[in-house]
Amino acid sequence: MNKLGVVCLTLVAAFAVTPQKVQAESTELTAQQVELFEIHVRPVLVTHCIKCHGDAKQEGALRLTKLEELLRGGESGPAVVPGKPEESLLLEALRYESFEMPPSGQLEDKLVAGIEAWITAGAPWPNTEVLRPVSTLTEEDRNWWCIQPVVDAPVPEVNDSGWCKNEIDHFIFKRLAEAGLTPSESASPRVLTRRVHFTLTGLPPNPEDHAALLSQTETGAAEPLSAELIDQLLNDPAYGENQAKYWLDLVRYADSDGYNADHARPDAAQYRDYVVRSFNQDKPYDRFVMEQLAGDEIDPGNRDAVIATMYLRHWIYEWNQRDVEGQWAEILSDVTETTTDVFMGLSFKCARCHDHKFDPLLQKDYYELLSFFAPLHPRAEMPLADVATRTEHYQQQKAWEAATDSIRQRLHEIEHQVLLKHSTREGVAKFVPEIRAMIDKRECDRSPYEQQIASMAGRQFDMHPDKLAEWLDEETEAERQELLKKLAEFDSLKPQPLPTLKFLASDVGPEAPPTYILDDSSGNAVVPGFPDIIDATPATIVPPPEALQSTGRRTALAKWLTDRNNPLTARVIVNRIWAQHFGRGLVDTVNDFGHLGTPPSHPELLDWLTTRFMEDGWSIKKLHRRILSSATWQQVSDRPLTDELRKSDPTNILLWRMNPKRLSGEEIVDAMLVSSGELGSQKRALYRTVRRNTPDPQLGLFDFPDRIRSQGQRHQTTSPTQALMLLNNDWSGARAVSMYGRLQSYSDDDFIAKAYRQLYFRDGSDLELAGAKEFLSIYESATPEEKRPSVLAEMPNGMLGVNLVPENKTKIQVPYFDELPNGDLTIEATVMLRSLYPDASVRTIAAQWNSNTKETGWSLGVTSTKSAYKPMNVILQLVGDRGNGMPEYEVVASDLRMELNKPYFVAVSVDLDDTSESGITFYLKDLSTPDAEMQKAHVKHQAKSDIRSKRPVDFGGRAGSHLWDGLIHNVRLHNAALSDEQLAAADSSQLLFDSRFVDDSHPGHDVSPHNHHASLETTGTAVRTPQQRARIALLHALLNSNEMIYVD
Amino acid sequence: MSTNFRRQQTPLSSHLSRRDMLLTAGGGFGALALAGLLGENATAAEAAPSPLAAKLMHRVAQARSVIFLFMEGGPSHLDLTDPKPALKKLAGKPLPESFGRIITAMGEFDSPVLADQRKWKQYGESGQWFSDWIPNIAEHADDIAVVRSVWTNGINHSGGVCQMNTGTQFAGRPSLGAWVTYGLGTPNENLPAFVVMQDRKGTVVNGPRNWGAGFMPALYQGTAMQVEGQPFLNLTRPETVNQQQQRLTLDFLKQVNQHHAETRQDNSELDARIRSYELAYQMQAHAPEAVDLSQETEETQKLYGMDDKDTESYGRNCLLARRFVERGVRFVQCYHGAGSKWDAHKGIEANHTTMCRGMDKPVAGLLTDLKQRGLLDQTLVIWGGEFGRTPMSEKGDGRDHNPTGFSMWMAGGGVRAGQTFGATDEVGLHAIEDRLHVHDIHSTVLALLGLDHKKLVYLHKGRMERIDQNEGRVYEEIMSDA
Repeated sequence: MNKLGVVCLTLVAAFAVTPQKVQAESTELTAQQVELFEIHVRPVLVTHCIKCHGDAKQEGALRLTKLEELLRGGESGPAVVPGKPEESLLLEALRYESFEMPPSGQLEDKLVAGIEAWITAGAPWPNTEVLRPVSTLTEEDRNWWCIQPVVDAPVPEVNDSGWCKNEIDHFIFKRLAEAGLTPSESASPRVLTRRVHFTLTGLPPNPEDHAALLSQTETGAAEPLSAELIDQLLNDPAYGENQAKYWLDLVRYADSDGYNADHARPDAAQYRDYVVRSFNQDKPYDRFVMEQLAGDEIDPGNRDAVIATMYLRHWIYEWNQRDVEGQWAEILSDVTETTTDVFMGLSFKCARCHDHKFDPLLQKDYYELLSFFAPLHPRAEMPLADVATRTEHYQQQKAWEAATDSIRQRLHEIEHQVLLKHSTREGVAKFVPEIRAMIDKRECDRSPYEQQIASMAGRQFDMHPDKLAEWLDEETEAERQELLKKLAEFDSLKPQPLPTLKFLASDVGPEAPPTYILDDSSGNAVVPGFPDIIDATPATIVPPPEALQSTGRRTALAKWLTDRNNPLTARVIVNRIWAQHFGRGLVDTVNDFGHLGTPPSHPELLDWLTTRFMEDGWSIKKLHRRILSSATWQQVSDRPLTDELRKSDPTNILLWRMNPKRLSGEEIVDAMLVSSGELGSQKRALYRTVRRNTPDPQLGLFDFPDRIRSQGQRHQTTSPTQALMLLNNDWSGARAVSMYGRLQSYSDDDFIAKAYRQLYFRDGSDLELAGAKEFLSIYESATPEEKRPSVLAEMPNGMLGVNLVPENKTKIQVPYFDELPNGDLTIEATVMLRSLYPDASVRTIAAQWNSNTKETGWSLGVTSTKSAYKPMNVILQLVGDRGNGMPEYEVVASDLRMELNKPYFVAVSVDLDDTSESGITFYLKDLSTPDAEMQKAHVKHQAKSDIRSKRPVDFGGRAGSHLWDGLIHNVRLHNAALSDEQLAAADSSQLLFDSRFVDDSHPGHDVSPHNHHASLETTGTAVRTPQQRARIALLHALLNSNEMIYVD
Repeated sequence: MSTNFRRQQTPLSSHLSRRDMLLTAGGGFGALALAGLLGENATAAEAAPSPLAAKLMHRVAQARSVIFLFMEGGPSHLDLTDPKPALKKLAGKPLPESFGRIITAMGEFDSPVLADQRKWKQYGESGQWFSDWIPNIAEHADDIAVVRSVWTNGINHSGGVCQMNTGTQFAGRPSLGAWVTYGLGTPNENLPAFVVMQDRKGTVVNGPRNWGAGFMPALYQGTAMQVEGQPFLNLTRPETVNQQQQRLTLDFLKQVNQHHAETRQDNSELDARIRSYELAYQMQAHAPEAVDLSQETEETQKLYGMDDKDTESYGRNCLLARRFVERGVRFVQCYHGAGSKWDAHKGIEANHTTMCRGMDKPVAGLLTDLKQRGLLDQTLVIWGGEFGRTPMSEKGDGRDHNPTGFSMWMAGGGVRAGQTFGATDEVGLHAIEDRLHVHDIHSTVLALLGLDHKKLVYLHKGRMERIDQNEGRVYEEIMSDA
């Protein structure tokens, strides 16, 4: 395998220099001498030595391309002493007696013996012969499968008895038939429905949308999986979120820098959302690639195209690294390696230090690719404007700069050193002189490379021009003021600033800094180019419009990658999508099409799909559709492995059945949230902040990647720590409780049946239901009655109520249900308030809102000390639609005041579409004195519709804040605006619940017939009956079960 | 899904049983470890063993476990293990250029040399030198092999700690503990195979990266002990669930899972997951027992300095380390001074007096205890930081980071104790004799555990990755069987 010879190791200096008289060797060689040289010497030196001791590198100051060089030797002395093998270091090294050369492994004895014979014979060397490396690409290299052109393979004819559904199946069937195997039958519509939901959206199906299917009342469907369902899911926004997950692993997306400080990257999320959006729009993949590599050059006025180039910013970064140049080199390598991993499916990492040992990738290729990124320049602010606007701006800027150059030059002389001297944060003193010199220069005097390094260094310190007056002597300051005045006279020439976007990158300028091969002392810079094995011609760089001040290199790379004749780009993405659906790519090693990866199992199919993909305008959605419509993908996954199959294809490479899928960490989290009815109020796991130094404690256990290097496939481990997390962690326990909240009103039978449908997307068998019921009863009897200190207290008038103390963070909630008011409503409550907040927070009685003024909801409460509405004011906060199609926030204040420590009846009746004064009526009655009047207030409002949020109803707080301090006796909610009379008569025809806090064993019990009981949790834990505990335990067990996280 | 080993088989090669695979894998042990990964694959046709099951070694070795005592922040070799009389002569003067310039983190190369203020003595029959800052450790001179010639690339804490743990200054590679876990598995799956303890206060620079699995599966990553409360995250049942209730839940879960698996018998992952719940249940019982120091006698606790507030904290961790290795935990890492507390840029006298006092007795106690229990032979104890400190002063009375030459020491399993290895130059700036890079240290640690660093490979993106990035060598001289 080791075709390319020597491995580059970091070697400690080898041969030491001793000057030596060079023997002249001018006589013609005899045939025998020539043979000695050609057979024993040239091949060994060329293959094993001159890589590190040749033109490019001279490890240990030793060069072995000419006889003189061998005689002179390196740091340790002459390598060869003609006629004296025992004094020749070369031989010693080859024998591994002192130095161990070549480091990749000792040469065979006969090769070493050949060298010895040659030295003994006086080291004959053909006159003036200089050894050169031979071309290292062989015929075998050129036959590497993945660099062959994509061929539109003919669809094989097969005798399939009607099994095939589309062309994919023909390819699969043919290979199976050749192996004497048959494919599997189609999975049931139920299994396929669950499978297709997870594979496209990463979310489970909603059983209520498929009631007929689950009840098996639906028969005779022509297709077990309808094209409509596939389309519906491809058009679901959840599709893009799911697809983005794979991409974000590839580009190592994170919301923090990595390294010790691990600073946040608040702007990075724009890229994540761009990826979601692009997949949902089915952006052609070639365009998607172009945008990420060169959006700033190809479409600088297009917001998404520019955000896309954040792809170039996801490297880890240590903000205070003094070795600025070292870090920059590391960053460029990282961007290069990520790019080859992501788009080419080739791992170039090895070639950074030496030609790849196993693949025909050269070190030269690596640096030619790197040079596309060499001009990269991270920008805190990147202009967003089209070429015409940029051109206008650029010209004006140039004119201003030309007109003011001498002024600014003088200003720089006055200011720059002083500013640097007083710079703060890290300051500039810690930089080595070379970097300090770059920082000292005016920007216009820096070379492109100096500009890159100086600006990277500049991120470590702050300068304070506002304080210059304090630091400069009077005379200089006077001069400076004069200069500034002069400068201001040219302000009219200055262009208007362009709109900008943050956390991006573009080129440092139209001229690229040179790129050198690592350890190459020749001083020759490489030019942008592609791996020789694929395309040995240098890249054609077309400079973009001058105003963009960019090299056009990245555009050239992107164009090459997205050229239809590029053998890799389309194949790689097609294979990734295939792997996503089958759990294994047609090429198993999705990020490595190289020799250590596996060759494709179905090369013709890969090419056929790749051809269709490009024909379809690089549409990923069409590719999904094609794959999911195949009989291959729709096969059952539980066909048993017979002895015959075990012999011929035990790991199902030929796809004689479907592979079962295990959910990823994100999918587990999301599926649990869906089951508990909380997806929506909580965001999908995709949106969790990715902090590189603080892995998410849940996702981290499920092999969420470190997002430091590109990762094409997730590991999938099973460990007790995962089990512990799902069993014992508060988060997963809380999902079981929330799910219980959704199902609590059902009988045991229905409760279990609903749970099975929700989690497994099927009905439990009688046996299973019986098993579950048995569990409930055993668990219940094993569960002690819980006692707790009373949560109730008495108001001065003798009424009981739940005693709320903000420190306890008591959570009282009625779970969300669809009948909750979205228009008219009436809230009634009996309460007592004990204190106000010292600030403007609200003491909340009841709410269905998360406090976000851009999200719908309502909240009834009392204002506190610093409120703009004065303290103790009963108010209703509303976020609803005023007819503008979006939620808008308002405070409807009653100006009715609730005094502290007195029991009150409080109510508000809302006729939502009546925005006049009669629309909202507040009621307030002091219950501490029998003869107190009912106070009333009519107030205008603006929202007309849509005030419901998909949240539970909170009592005594809203989403954990703005907490009540005092007692709440009851809360009643009506789905109508009650009139005075209806209120007085306690009309309950539209009553949704009447939650009372009078019974310590059932606080929050709904005394209406609707059973919307409130749950109560304090910082301790909720008190529940053994029956409730048993039900929660059942759900918790099912949430942990294999069927929950495996998809057939 | 990353069963790298499988990928090297030709796609349609006739099926190899696990046994065949082990036999045909060139006898290479790396293959053994890789074969363990079969457990990950959803379509693996045969029941695979646990990937953490204890595995065979490449070579005979005494050490079964590692306790890595990591002095974070960089202890001064010049004040602990590597006496340099020349410092007294040069004190107050700049270091002659002849020693070779180096870049230091704080740019202190030109600062005057700082003499040490230590009393040095030779200890034990071996006569190794130790300073009066570590008198208790010094009493173990004959159990210890000091290496005075370690060097590294990381000049700052972030890079240095990362490199000492993972071999590189840059994130993304598996830690030494992860490699060892990958290579050797664990004899006791009821406890984590790789445990990390930080001090009471402070977090190790860069945090979990230092015990991460890098590009390997999460299975091999270290498990950090909690500073307070339950020893490991999620170990404690929720308050509302007692043991009996959890048992009932797990029995029900098992029943549900087995029913599910009945029609999916080829999917060995399902069994692995069923088993993981039983292991989790066991771990809940075993881990609290493992960390229950009330089982230790007062005498033992005193041995570790747990009766003294200065040494109580690290003493507790060292005692826990002994209890873990006793129970089969493969790799224990005990940070001292987590959060760069050894970083004596100024006032090294005060800093190191405190740091050494907090560490010396507990570490000595650990060595004594391991020895008296017969555990020292099978436990490799490693002591060291991410780098040493400069002979030049910083801020008058401190020392800057010195990555070019510093000391570590090893004791126990397979170490040729009672001997000092390697040397630094006259002032302790550069390692000059038997220079050992971090890669060499890692390779040597693997060798002491019976693993060949050239054979313990993990195929990642087309590269046969090794802990030493193909650059390390085993320092055979320090191995007693060499």
